[in-house]
Amino acid sequence: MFEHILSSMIFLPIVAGLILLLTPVTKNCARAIGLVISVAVLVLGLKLYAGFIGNGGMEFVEKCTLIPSLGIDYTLGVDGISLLILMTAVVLFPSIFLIFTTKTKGYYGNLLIVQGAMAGAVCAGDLILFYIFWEVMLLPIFFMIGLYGGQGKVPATLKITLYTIAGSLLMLVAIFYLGVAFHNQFGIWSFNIATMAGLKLHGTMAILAFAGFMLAFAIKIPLFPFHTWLPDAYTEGPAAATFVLSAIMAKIGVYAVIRFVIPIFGAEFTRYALVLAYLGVIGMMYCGFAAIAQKDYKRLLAFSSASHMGIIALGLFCLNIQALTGSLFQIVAHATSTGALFLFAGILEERMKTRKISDLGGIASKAPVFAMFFAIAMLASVGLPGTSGFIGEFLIILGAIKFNVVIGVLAGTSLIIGVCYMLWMFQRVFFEKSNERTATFKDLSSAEVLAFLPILILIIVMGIYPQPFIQKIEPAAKIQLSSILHDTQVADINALPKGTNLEK
Amino acid sequence: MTRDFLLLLPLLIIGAGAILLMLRSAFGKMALETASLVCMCIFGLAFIAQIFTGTVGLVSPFSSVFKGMLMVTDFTRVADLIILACGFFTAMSSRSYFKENKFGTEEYYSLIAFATFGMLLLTLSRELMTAFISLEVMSLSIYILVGFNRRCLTCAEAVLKYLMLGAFTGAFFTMGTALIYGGLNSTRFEVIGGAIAAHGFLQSPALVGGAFFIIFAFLFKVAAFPFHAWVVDVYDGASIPVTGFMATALKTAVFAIFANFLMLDPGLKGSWVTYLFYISILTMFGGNLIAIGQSTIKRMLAASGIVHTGYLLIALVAVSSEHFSGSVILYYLAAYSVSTLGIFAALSYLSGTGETRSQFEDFKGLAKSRPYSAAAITIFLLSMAGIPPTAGFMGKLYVITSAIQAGQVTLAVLGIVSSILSVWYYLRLIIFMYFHEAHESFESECTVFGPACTLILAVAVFAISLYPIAL
Amino acid sequence: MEQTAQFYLGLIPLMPLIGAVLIGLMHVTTCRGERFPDKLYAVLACIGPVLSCIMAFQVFSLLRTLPVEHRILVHKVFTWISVGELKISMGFMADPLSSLMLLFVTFIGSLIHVYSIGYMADDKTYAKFFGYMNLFLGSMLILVLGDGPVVMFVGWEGVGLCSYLLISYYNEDTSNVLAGNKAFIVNRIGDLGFVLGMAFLFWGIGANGFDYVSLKTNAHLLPQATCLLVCLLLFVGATGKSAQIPLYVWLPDAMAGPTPVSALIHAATMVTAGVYMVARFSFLYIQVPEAGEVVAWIGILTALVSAIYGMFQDDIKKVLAYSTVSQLGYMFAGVGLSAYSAGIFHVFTHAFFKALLFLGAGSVIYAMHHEQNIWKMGGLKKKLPVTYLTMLVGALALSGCPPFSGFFSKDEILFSAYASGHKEIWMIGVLVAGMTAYYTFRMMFVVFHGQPHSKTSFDHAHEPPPVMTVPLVILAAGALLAGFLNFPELFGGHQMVSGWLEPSVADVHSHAEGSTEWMVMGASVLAFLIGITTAFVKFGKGAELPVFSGFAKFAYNKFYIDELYDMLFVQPYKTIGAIIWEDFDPNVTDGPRKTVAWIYELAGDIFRLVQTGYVRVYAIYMVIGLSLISLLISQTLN
Repeated sequence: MFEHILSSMIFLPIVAGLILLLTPVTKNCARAIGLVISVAVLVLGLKLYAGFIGNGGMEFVEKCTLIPSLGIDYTLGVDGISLLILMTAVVLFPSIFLIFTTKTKGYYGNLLIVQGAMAGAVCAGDLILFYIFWEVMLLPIFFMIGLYGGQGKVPATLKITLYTIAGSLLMLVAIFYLGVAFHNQFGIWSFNIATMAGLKLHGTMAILAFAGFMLAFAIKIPLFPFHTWLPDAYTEGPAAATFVLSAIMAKIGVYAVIRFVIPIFGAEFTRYALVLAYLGVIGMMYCGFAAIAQKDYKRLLAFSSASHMGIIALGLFCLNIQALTGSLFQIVAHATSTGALFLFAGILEERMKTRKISDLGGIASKAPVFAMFFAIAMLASVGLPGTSGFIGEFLIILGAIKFNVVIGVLAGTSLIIGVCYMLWMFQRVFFEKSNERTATFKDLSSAEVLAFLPILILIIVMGIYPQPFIQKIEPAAKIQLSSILHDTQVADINALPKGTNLEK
Repeated sequence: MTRDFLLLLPLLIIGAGAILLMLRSAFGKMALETASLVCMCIFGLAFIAQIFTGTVGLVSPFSSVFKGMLMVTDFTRVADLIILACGFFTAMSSRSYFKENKFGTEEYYSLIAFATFGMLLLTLSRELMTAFISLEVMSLSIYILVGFNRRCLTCAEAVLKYLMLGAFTGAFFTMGTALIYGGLNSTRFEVIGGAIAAHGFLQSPALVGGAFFIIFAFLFKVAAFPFHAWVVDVYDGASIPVTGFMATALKTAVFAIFANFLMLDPGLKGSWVTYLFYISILTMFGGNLIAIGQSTIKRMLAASGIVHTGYLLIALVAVSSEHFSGSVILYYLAAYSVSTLGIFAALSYLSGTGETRSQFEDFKGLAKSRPYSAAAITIFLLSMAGIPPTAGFMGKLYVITSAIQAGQVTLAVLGIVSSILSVWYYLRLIIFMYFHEAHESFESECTVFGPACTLILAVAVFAISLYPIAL
Repeated sequence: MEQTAQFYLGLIPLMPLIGAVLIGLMHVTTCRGERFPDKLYAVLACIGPVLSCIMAFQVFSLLRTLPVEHRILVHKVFTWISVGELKISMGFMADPLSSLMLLFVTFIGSLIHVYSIGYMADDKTYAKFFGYMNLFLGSMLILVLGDGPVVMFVGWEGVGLCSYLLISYYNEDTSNVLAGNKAFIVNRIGDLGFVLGMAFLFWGIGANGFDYVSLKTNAHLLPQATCLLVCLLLFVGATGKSAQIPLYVWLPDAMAGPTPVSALIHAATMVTAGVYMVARFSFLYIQVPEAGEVVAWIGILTALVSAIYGMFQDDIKKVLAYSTVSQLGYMFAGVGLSAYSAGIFHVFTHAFFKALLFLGAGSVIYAMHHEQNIWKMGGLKKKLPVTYLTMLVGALALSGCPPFSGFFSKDEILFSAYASGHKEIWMIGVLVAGMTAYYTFRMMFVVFHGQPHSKTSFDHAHEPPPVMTVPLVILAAGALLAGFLNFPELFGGHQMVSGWLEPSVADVHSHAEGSTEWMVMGASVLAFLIGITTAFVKFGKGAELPVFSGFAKFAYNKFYIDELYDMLFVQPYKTIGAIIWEDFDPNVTDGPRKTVAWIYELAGDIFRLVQTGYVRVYAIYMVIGLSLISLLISQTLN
């Protein structure tokens, strides 16, 4: 099992999930199975993390040919970047099974499948394989929103599914195009991302293929102006689905840009970086402003999540190591903080049976523990130093300033925008006088506390001692960057400080 | 000698079985169940025989007798396998269909067998007259099958439309044959091919005209734009298993001969690529736009059938007429047939007596009362939409890659765009099945066959998608 | 010895933080069931600050022993962030400047913790309060000790958070929470400036070391323009934290918090962080005098404006709040004119007397059962003798009466303003001194002299317990004597504080002959006398609640600045949000998608019509298609 650790991390949950879906098991049994599986995966993940060297290369590689006629391989492997996201997912998942205890087996089954699929998407080293997992990832979400969602679930489901599939199918054409181009250049079929990097693309076709990829990922992240599916999906979706979407799936969009777009379309990427960076920062401000107008706390969180994704995306496009590392770090930070926030929102929704902010109030006095946990997650998401949120945001802003002053300053405003709507909501939900609805609010049960503790600890630890994580990320990030900045550039930027330049 | 015999064995089995069934039903009544069983056995036998004929290159069995009117290639073998499988599953699902709808007789099964015989012959035929005869054998039995439910008005209407327009095409085909014979005084494919190779396709007007008419006949049979209009009404009118059979087996057979004919010579194909290019685009988008307007599942599936024809045409455009192996076409056909048959099999026992459940709305909450059927249907729909890891996805993968490889990037992109459009109406059914509350419990006193058939096909969807890996 | 001291550097901030975590955990685990006794929390809460106070003295004394140029201890605990050329370690640095801050922060912090034991008694969430207080002290110490801008920023935001938490401590009441939000958000606006400043500084010269030591050595490499930009941006941060124009609006509202909080955070320590920061970056400000000018002017204007507000307040804490703002203005005037030691010295003295005044006010409020309106008090002198006397000391110090501490520090600032040729600043300064004296004693008279206004509360009023009065006395001593630490040469003193700060701040000494110095001093004394006499004349016998009109009314409503800001920033923000959400997002951003969907539907309907169901129509389609293609083929033939 351990020599195929990645495969087992992918297929253990998927198989278990299918079994849950296809066999008549009781709710509790289903939940137990889910918990056991996710914990087992967590153990595997920790083993993986322990065995990871982190010299920037691919590790734990598994390789076997699937379709020789088209050179489609079953290639898995992790580098620092994918490990990071994989671990985030792996760590966060068990908590869902601890928190949501009353759901049907379909709920848990779908969760397991999506977990496996996401692991697959993150580990895949072959474009077709990646695409398969990428699509499979969506189906459980589709069913979860549609089956267990709120009032407007059906339109929301249609919107997210069509939007995402539209994007990813265009990416599919791009993938095929790459495959064919590779075949025409080297005479052999391959969709392997490593070999694909050697591909030379020029002209309009290159730009179109680039657009195909970027569109799919921009929709998934989502990058302004492709975010319109997000509020509905996040709001109507059940807590777990929203959690998965915001905490991990969106990150896989970012990851995919780094893993697939940067190595293959280096030239196009650098060429359009500025535009994309603007989209990112505009998205951050746009969604931040939209958030303040929300009457529904889940929708508010949805917009805040979109806003943060804008910043993370911005980090990608700044083309320097600080910003890139920052946004990779922020991926984890945001996953933990926003993920936790959405789980809290789910608990609120379940106990209060409302999503209206105005219906709530005074919860802090009724449920101090809940309030404190929420506050910690919230502070992380507004990027308070000492929490994980600060490190990434700081690095991104730093990098953005270097990349382009205007963008940098605009990015800086996220410090203010974020805090406005968050405090506004915190005040109306947790402070002020409690009403008859909130008077009976039950504080977190010990099981729930247990579920949230790892997340919160992670938030704090990553804020106070981030270096270990950064060490895992930075080498891989450097390699990705050097692939676009042609080594020399990166080298001298990092070697010579500005000061010495001025001396000359 | 024996090898030649072996090659034709499946054909013979089906033919013999068809006649046997017909006679048996003429004398003395035999229980419908037995008839269906016999029919299934026949198909099963033929299928096995087909498998055991072993791989062959280009072989014309009994060349002394048939003068190479028939030709067995790997291409036809696989095509025949698909056709036979379609026949088998149709027979299987018909059995539970006729549990609910009481107009079934033994002749029905023999007619299916006859139709299949026609199809097999069609795939093998290497000569226009033979092709015409087998085409008619197939068509006539299909006509009868479509109108099999005599009490039902829509069936009568459907069969009328189909018959009339079918007559048109028959006329086209013979016309084309006549022209070509006039031009080359032969109707044998290799002669035609030779002629084109010798002095080019466009040299002899008779040839051009003939090919023109013949190709139109094919385009009509596969329901390509602008000859698609009949499909929706006819499929709607015909009883569910028949529709399934038409949508899959017939399309396979016609595409086989179409490919065979088109691949005679690069010149022929080259001069047709441009038209096929536009036709395929129009077919895909036309089909999609018809499909979204539909409110009954059968009509929607009919329209989506048009769309898939469009994809197959892409494949036809893409495949190189030099070293031709229709693997892409065949794979797509297999994937498509499995999922289509699957849905029709499921419908055959879900749609109730007299096909009362035909609208999307009628299937609200199916997942609650019959989760497994709903799951199966979902799988088929996803496969049609080309979502991985289903067979449909692999099919698209092959088609699109081959299109790009042939330099038809535009076609590839448009193909994907049209499949984006198609996702919508497939999802619609899934949404109705899963995300709405049930109005009724979908009880039906059907036999185990229908569900079994559905299950097998559902598994087959994944099996086929994994098949390339097994290679 | 030095190693242990360095070790202390790490421990000093850690102590209160540990306390905070411990108390927090205890509180959270017990808040639902049986609570621990408040005494336990009280003790736990005080241990941390006291310990770090002791260690602070240790460090200080060690620094004293070192030779002047080596008076700097650095302790890098671990590598915090290291990405590319950016290398930041979680490091702490003690040099004269930070050690001085360290001293009074820990000292006054401890005193106020002790005081709170009494003040916060019979509070429902006693533990929570002390948890926050410890957390605050910890962050403040990080701020002071941080060996680089980023570490400082950690403390910087940490204290901001604590101030938010403590302002909205009584969170049942919406207005308190709003005050908290205001504080946090306004501070965040400042922090944006800080972050951007750091970023530009980093890309300027941060590449080989982003801590103060290396920055100081590389400062000369920074281009002038960048330097100016950085200084101004950092100053924006300072205005946020230290409540200067235009970001001062949060501090008065911050008085919603418990009084010890106002004393500790919003008077003695946190709000002076801005001044400290400017002094820290003196090596930059010294390069661009323009930046200094801006700082000085902003400072003195703030001093003026808030002094004007102060003269018309009727809430005892609000009066003190505005006096704080105005004193901070002085400090900035000082550091702006690169008289850093003077500025820091004023920070130092101010910490004592302002904490004293607030705690005094606290015990008044405590005595009056949380009545804060001065017009409802009066004649408390007899009831609260200790409070009265101690507060009197504080008031005198605040209004700059020689020889109280406030006099020396303020005078030094004014002197350097005059000597460095900024006459206008000096004049405004003197004016403000007079006003300060006026409103301080206005408050004193109205509260303690004259007749009690509300009989009932007056009768119930009583001197608070010693746990509260003792800190008052200690602080009073401080307020009285702290001034002598920097006794000017003029009186044969040798400015110890300035001398002490010499190595760490780049002071510019503007010397002038004794006569000017006498003159300056005389002017401020005169101003003080005028102020206090007017106050006495108006309120000496106690006075009734005045009715404001004209300019007074305008000033009473703080020039309607809050309303202005609300109109200029808050409302637009909300409206933009609403517009985006209600109109823009669904119609414009989502427009393309909707259009496509619409076209798709439309085409579908059209095709449904085309699908007539008439076989003849279908035949026609076939024929049309046929003829079209045959036409095309015939084209290709010839």
